[in-house]
Amino acid sequence: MNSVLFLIVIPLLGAFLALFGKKANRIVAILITAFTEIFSIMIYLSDKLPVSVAIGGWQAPYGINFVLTPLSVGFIVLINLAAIISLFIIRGEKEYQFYSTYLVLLAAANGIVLTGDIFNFYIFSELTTFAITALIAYPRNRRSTGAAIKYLILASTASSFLLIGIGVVYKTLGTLNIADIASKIDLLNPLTLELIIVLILTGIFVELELFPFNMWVPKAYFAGTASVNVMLHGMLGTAGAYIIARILLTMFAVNGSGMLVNANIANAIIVIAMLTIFVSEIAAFNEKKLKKVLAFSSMGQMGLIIFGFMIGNEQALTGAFYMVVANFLAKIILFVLTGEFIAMTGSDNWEDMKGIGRKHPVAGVSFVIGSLSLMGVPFFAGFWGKLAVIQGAMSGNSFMITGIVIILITAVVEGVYFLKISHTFFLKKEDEKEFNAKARIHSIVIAAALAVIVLAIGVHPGLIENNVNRATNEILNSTSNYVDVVFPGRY
Amino acid sequence: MTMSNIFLISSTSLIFIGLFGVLTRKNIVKILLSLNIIETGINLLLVAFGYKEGGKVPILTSSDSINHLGNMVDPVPQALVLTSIVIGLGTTAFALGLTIRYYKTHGTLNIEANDEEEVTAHE
Amino acid sequence: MNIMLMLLVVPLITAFLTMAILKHQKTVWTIFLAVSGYLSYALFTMYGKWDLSWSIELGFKMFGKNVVLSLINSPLGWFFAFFASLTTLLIAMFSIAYNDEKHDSKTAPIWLLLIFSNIGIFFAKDWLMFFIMWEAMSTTAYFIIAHGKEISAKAAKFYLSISLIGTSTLLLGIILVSRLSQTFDIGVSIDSLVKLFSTNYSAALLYIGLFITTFLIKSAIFPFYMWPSKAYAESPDDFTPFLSTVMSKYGVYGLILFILPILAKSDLPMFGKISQPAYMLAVLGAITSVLATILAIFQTDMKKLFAYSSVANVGYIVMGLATMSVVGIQGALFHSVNHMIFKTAIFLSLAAVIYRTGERDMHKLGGLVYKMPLTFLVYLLAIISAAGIPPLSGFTSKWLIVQALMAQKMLFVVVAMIFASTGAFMYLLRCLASVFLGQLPDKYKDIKEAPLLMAIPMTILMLLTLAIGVIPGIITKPIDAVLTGMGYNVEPSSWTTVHTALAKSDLNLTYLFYVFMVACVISLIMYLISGKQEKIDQIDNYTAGENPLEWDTTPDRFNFAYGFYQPFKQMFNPMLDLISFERWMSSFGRIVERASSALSLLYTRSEGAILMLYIGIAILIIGGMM
Repeated sequence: MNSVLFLIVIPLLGAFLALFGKKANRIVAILITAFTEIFSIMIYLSDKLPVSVAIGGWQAPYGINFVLTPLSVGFIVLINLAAIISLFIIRGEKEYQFYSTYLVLLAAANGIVLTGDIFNFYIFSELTTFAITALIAYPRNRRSTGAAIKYLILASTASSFLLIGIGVVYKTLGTLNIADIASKIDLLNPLTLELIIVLILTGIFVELELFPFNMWVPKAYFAGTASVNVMLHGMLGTAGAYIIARILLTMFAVNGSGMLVNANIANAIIVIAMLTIFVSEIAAFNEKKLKKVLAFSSMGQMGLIIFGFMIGNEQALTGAFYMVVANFLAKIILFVLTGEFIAMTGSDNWEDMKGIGRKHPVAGVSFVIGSLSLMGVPFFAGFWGKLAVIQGAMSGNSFMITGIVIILITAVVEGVYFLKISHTFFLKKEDEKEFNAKARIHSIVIAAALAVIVLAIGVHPGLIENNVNRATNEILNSTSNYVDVVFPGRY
Repeated sequence: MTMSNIFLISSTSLIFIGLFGVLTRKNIVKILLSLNIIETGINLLLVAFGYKEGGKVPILTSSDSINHLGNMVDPVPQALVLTSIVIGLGTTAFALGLTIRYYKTHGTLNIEANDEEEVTAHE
Repeated sequence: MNIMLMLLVVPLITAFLTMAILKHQKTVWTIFLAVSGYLSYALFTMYGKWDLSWSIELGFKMFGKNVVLSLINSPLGWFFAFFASLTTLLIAMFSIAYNDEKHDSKTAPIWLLLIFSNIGIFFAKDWLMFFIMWEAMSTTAYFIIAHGKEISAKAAKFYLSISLIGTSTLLLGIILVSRLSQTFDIGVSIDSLVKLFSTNYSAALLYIGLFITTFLIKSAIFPFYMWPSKAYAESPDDFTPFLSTVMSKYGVYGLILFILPILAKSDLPMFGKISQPAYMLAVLGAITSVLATILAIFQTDMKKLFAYSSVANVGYIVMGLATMSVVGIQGALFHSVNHMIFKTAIFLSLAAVIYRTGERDMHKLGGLVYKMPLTFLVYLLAIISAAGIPPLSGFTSKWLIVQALMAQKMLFVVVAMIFASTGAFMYLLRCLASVFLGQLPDKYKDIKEAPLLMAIPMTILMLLTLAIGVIPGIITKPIDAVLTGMGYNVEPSSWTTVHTALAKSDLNLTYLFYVFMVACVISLIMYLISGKQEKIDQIDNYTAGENPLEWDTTPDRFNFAYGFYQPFKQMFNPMLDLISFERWMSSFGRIVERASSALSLLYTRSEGAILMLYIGIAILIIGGMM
């Protein structure tokens, strides 16, 4: 089972080799990503889950181990899918730095999800910071360097807090293994626990794009190319959702029940989530640049997802996982199409993109399907998640009820701007001049295929029901499903 | 004032100095300097976490060192610190490279310079 | 195959089919006509079979078991669905001729999806199906109203914002109510809400308040009455009758389906003879009718005028429903169908006028009776029906509603109803005078009558309104089934006599019809035996025989119809300014836009990024300490 290391080692090797390649880089990158994707799907479909792989034979908690559970392998499948899609929509030639850093990002994202050791997690998280910064800064123009340096400073500051938190954990509990920490969490006194949680949360909230830690998000999305946007959202955002599930709901959980051990901080997180949703949807309403609108929308979705995770009962957790998948699919459609549209019209404003839907109806309709799914309209994948989360939150405390009200209010704002933008694509163009570039068929095909999947899940949620349930069960019974896997026989 | 207390206080003060710097400085190089100070402080903090009063170096020097295991300073934080120093090195190098590029595109090292005055989008 | 499933599947599949062949307009609209015809026929065969149903189980768990979406054939749902599909059939015939090269709105596939959601709403057995179809309806309606034009998109945005507020309210209401009964079934939720009224009055009031808000939003009742004028005016001309007659009934359907049984069965504080919530509904309906009538009188755009007229008519329906009596509900349901018929006739004739002249402002038209006599006749009969004059159909329904209101002794509401109903004369006749009578402008000298395919549905509607006026039994018999289904005791109604609430006030409509026929014959005889008539030029009529060309002026328009009701407008303007919800809504919209720009700017500058980080830490720490 040590072969699971391939998911990390082969991309890293590829990253090193890419420094020397020229034209072959793209092919190599696609091959490596395809390999990791197929490999992870094979692991997911095999019967060997859940299993803990001790690297180098050193058993946990002395060594580092990789834990393969349905939840983590499912997320790896999603991350690699986003990676391969992002490779397909690259426009133009990229130099070796792009592919090299991309492969580092791939390795690091896989590592974040696979690892069972918190210091290892810190290292991989730092690696993703580097890789994303480099990818954002790739175009070397004013926008991208500004965005990149600001993100780097913010992320480094935040991860230093994470490191302090890890240090305190080691000092008090004596272990760095996530499963071990989970089983020993009640040995801490509440004040220390709170300190640790606050430090670690600070570290991860920047990556999770929550308000008020997310000042970097619109700039970063705006500055990156379409493929970088897909990577940023599909790989980093999905890894972020996994981090919430693993660190907040497994490591710091009450007796493995999926609820945060400090209820006050859970409420504070819900308040932060509500603020995120509210601020991002309002900010997106009047924004003219399409990429920034999508960036704000991503922020709002992450807020919604963490709201779902923090509620703590089974219904909301299932809903949160549905939302992760639906958000993943729909946002990728939107980013892929946005890249095409911006290249075709040469402008960043969505108001200048009139008439694209008439010329390429499949692209226009796919955009509409993606937007409707994000809005949570029935018949599309996003609806079931929202319904389950709201239903689950109803039985919570007053913070959660306020959260529901805010979600429903912002749903109106979200609906108006998304449909406004979608309809703009179908307006008649006043002048009859052609677009600057042609739309590439494979991008539209990818978008259309994802749109069909979104429709299918929307109409028949049972398609992913089993997988979602497996993930939910794992969180809700994390003692038997996670800790036991790493330390069999402890309980 | 025991040694570990001195370590803890000094490292936390380094961290706070660094945080103050990151918060208030506008020049990118100064911000990166403060970031480095934070990282140094954290490294010191981590080593301090592993410190034991009157402990020995955690290396087995002779055959009976193994009896003094309880008296040794914890080596794990030291390993963590090594990794952290390398990460700090990488961050600083990368950030400085970016700063040079930033100076070329923005003409200034002020972090509050407007990013969007010209649109030179590649793709 | 299960016929209810076919009702859903046929529009859905044809929608996707027509998307592929959108270029061939005529084929697309003919397919649309065929689908409407099929639906009407299928629904007609379903009358009486009240146990037809269809359901599907999804793999999604809620309340511990998989959710089930189901449809059921109930009298109430059938009533609305059947008459809606009949209306759609007539509009579809019209659309084939309307959508030629110049006017094609290319919205047929989306309209088919809308019809698909239509069936779902009317036949839904559980709230989840209802909500899914409701949202589908809102979204598709947005796209049709906007139909690729920029002005229409702005108008549609207003509709969309209000509609989405309704959706959020509906979702909240559904989740709250389904948690009570742990199931999504509508019938079960009615019973659990009735129980809740006896235990926790204010909570139950909140729950039904949420539902009532949604239904009021969709049917454009006060305070949400401002969106039809924008939306109807800018939507495609053949879609406006559908929007006005069928889509405004969704809220009414919701009220009858859900709110009325609850109000009937619960233990509520009374106000006179009816319960307080019902009285509030009646007052809202009354305010809507009065306001909409007044606003209609001021309009210069013919579509906006009739948009307000539609709002006023739905106000009558709500007033009728609020009486909670057999006659009132009969009147309300009857008026729903009547409104479908005469409003469609009005809008179709106006669409024919717009199709031929391209002009929507009434004061720029005139004298079209010479060129489009059939359209004029249709319009004339339609507004007679709309005004509630016997022997046409509108009279019966308005008569029933007024009777019911008086029987329940709701005096304020009766006064409002009569004010609105009579005030309707002012705007109905205004449009007639401005558009059809008067002087024909020179540029419209050569327009032709409406094409054949447009003329046929208009004529059918005209005949229908006459037929229903004389034989109301066509409508009252299905209404009996609805009322029995709702639990009221009705005696079976006859074909021609209408039984009303006050004593000795049964109407025998055949008798009424004979009286009017006699009057017509008398006037015909008088016309024929009168003296000779001399045809003169229209200009002579206005210039009293003088010839303006002699004085070097052109024969100008002498029939000025602008500022028709100016004194009336001056009288009412102060009051309207006071309660203008439109201004509040648009200022609210501007506030949101400004907040949005400010926040976006915050993110663009991002100077305080690290500061925000520390604020976030502070939130976490403070949160943890509480």
